[in-house]
Amino acid sequence: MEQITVSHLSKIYNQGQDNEVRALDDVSFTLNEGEFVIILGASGAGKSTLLNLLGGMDNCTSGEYIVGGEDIAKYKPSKLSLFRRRDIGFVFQFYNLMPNLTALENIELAASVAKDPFDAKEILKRVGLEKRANNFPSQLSGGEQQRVAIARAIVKNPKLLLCDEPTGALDSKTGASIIELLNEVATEYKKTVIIVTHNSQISECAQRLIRIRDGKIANNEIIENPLKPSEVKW
Amino acid sequence: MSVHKVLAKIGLRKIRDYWKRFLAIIAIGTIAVTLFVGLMANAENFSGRVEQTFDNGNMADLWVTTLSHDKRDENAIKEIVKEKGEVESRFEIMGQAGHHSVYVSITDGEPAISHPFDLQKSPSDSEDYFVRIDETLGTASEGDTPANTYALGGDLSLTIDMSTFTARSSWLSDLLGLDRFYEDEKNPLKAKNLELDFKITALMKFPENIAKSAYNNSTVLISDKAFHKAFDNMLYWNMKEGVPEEERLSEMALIHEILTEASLFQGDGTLEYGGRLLCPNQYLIKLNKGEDSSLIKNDVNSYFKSKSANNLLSTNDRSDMPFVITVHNDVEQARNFTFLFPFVFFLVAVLVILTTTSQIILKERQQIGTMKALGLKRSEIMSLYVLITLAVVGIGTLLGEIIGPLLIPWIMDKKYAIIYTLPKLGYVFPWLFGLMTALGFLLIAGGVTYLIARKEISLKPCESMRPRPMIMKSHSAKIRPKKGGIIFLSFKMAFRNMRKDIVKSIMVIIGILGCTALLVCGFGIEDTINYGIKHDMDYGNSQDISLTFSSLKTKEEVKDDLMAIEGIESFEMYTRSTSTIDYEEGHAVDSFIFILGNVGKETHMKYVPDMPIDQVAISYKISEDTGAKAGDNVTFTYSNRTYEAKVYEVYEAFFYNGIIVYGDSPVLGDWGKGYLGANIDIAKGHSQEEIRDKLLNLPYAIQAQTQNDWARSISDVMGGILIMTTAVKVFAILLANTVLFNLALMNFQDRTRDMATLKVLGFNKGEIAFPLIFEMMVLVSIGVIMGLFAGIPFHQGVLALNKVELVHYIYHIDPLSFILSFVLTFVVALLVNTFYSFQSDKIKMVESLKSVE
Repeated sequence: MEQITVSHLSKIYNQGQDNEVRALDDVSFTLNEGEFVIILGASGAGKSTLLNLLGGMDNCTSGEYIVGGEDIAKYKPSKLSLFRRRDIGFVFQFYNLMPNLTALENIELAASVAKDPFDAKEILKRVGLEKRANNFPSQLSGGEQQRVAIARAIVKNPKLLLCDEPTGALDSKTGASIIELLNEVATEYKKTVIIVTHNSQISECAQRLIRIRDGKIANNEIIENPLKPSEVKW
Repeated sequence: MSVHKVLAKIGLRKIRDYWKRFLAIIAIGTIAVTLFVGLMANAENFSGRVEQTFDNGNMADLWVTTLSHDKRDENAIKEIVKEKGEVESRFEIMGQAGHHSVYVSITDGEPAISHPFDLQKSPSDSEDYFVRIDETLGTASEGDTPANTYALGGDLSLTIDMSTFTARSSWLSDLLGLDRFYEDEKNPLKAKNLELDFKITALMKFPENIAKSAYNNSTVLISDKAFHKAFDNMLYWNMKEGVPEEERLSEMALIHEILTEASLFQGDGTLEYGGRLLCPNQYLIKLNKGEDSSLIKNDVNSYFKSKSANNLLSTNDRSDMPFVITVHNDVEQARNFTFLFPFVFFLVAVLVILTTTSQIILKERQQIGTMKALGLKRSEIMSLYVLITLAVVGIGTLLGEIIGPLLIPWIMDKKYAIIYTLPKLGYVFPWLFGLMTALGFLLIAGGVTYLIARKEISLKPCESMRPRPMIMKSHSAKIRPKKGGIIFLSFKMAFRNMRKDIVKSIMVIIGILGCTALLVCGFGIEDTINYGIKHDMDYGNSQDISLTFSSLKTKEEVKDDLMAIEGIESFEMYTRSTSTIDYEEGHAVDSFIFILGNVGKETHMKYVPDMPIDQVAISYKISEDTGAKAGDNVTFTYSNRTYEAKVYEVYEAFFYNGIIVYGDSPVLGDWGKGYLGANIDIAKGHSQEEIRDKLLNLPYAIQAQTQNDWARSISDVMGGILIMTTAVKVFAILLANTVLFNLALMNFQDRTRDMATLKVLGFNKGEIAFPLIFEMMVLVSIGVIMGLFAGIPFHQGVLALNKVELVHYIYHIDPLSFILSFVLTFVVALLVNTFYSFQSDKIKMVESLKSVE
């Protein structure tokens, strides 16, 4: 079922000036519900800009971004905030956990603002950290922190899970486990997951692979038989 | 490019990056140094201008006043002074110019000691003929009713109490024999007061008139030639009606002859030292620099004591003169105020700088690690951060050093100019104090930065480049976080933030505490003064009008006059005079005696309504100074006699400090019951001002003060301290606001990443702001509450350091002052924090979250 439609989406910085930058140039694609999508591109290709627009963290210059029949591109900041609150789960490269809340509290915090959240403890258990529930982020390893971040994103029961280089700060083994976890929770909770990365190895797990180059979509393909993260050579 | 150049560039760019925080440090430093150096500059400036006024008029160092003239005195004094200085003589007497009490000073030509300056002369003014009045005579204090205005070339009527002329009877008898004069009170020489008319020849500044005429008895300087002429005129025009002019002239010639024969006046009007009328009764001594006036004073006193008939009234040095005491009191206050109060400002400023700097350096952790990894020496990295702090604090200090000596004396001069005649306000920079302040401030700031940076710089590069571990104890397995909404989690975040940065939290509390205490103290000083005035108005000054007589009067002497004035309901005789009060030898203090005409609840001084008639009451100030308590026997002087009485009670008064005794008390024995004033109650339907003006028309009335006049004059006396308090209050508010803005900004910037995370998670503005506001307001609340309490002893300490000779502070802080201090810190903090916390719109989520934690 078609869930997200992006058509002719552009993001131009310093428009009309000498130093105009077209970070995203007339991008169009559609995503189906429950898809595991990898957006692959080199540094500066525009993948993070696309993720920010999809996550409602930034406004586009032109184009449409339809989620559940609503054009998010036309949303004002207050509505965008509500969109992030209800429909988006974010996972960042550097985790961005609240340092003064425990692992469980970080998840509860996200749950507290969601419309129809999952049970925080259950999610924590799902990411394998039930024994670390009362530890603060500084007491967790990078991989554990990223697991908490994934749990925090999932607990909101969002329509879309957006991950910006989720393995960027992790070693390959931990990174693989994080991708595996994302893959599992996407399937289990039927969430559309979009991972932005420059790591081409991750792309082997994608159900849909979108390649971005110079702000444009270079390739948008559906992978018929994606590998499981454990099958990928990291 | 050398390392130092690169570091300098980094430093400049860091100042640019953290400009808001550095601006706060500059502002706080400027405020603290402005007040600190400014108040000292004001003290030096004020003191310098006072001394310059005294120097401009070559003011005497000693005033020797005698009860009668003895030709040998001047020679003896000259012999004592010898080469150590100069001696000059003059005749001085109290008089009235309209409603103004004045000192009439009559000199034989132009005086060299205590001489006028900045004269505005009319053509008739010359070295041997002059009638010079203070340029402020007749100008009234704000709200006062100007009784007279005087202008150059205008009229000046002087009333002189004839009772002060010594041995007048011997020469008056000659004059009274002349049949051209009336023989009763119409005869001007027989009247109680001598009325003389002059033309003002010059307006002057005079060192002894440093306090303007509205606040002090100003001196009128008259040459003996001018005095003689006025005396002649008075006689000429007061001969019996119908005496033809030729006869008047011949009569005057006869009078001159009599006077000359009697060696009183000579034909040309110069003083004749052998006479008894206007012979000198005061000797002015001006000592050379470095000479000790106390030695000369002792020698002069010894000389008079050795005389068989001691005619010495007083030997006063500058510190004994009322006008010097008043102005020096203000100078002393100005000096004392420089300490303690601004010192707290200074401490608060240092504390805020410490907090801000430490937060900046902690933020620089990774950069420090990077610089170390690149091979920079510890000392080079340290110098970068220390120099940044020194540069920023230096700018604040410099601004304070420039603004302080310009602004504070200018503000203070608004008050001084009302009370004193001083030279034009100049720029005075207190070099030693200013340099020490700058050095102290820079050293503290540099030292603080060094201590904070040392810890971070001593880490290994790999440690620095990792985020600072948050040291928090994990919960035990059994304790599970309670389920709760965002509010509960927000509380947790706030409290954990406070605990995590405990040092910062304590500093915030102390900073807020300091600001609140400063405000409580500032408001409290004004409250104490106002409370004291009100207290004395209620208990010591309950009459409508207080009338002062020019000489002692009995109740019977004034009763008919007073009761004849429509609107006067009743009156009570009273005397307020100087007295030396002693309890056990060596504890004597110079203060005041209040002799009350009525007894018990009938008296207007209601401090001790139950006092038995044969006992006395002393004020707390006297009790403190002498050690006397209720039940003790004290001695006190009045009119050259010493009395002893038992203290019934120690009463609390602000201004009316001294000893209270009933006029009918057996303690005073047979003292004649001549009073110096009357407390007057007016009937309904009459205004105090209306009755005051009527009272002033009485020939023996010197002054009539309504309650408002009295409160205003006390406020004027306290004006110096009040305006300083106002200045400090304004600066305390500025400091508090700057500190609060700085702390809020710091909190906002420190939490940018957390706020961005919450924003990404979809939290709305209010939800993002809540934990920040809560955290800050908890700290502010603790600081404010502690500050409100700390303000009480601080207020008392400041007042204790600023003791004023005349008054006893009854410590009092109005509840409104606590509320205002609370509002100015807590509410402002709440507003500022709310403002900043709702700035989450401006946080760019992407940039904030992309960076390495």
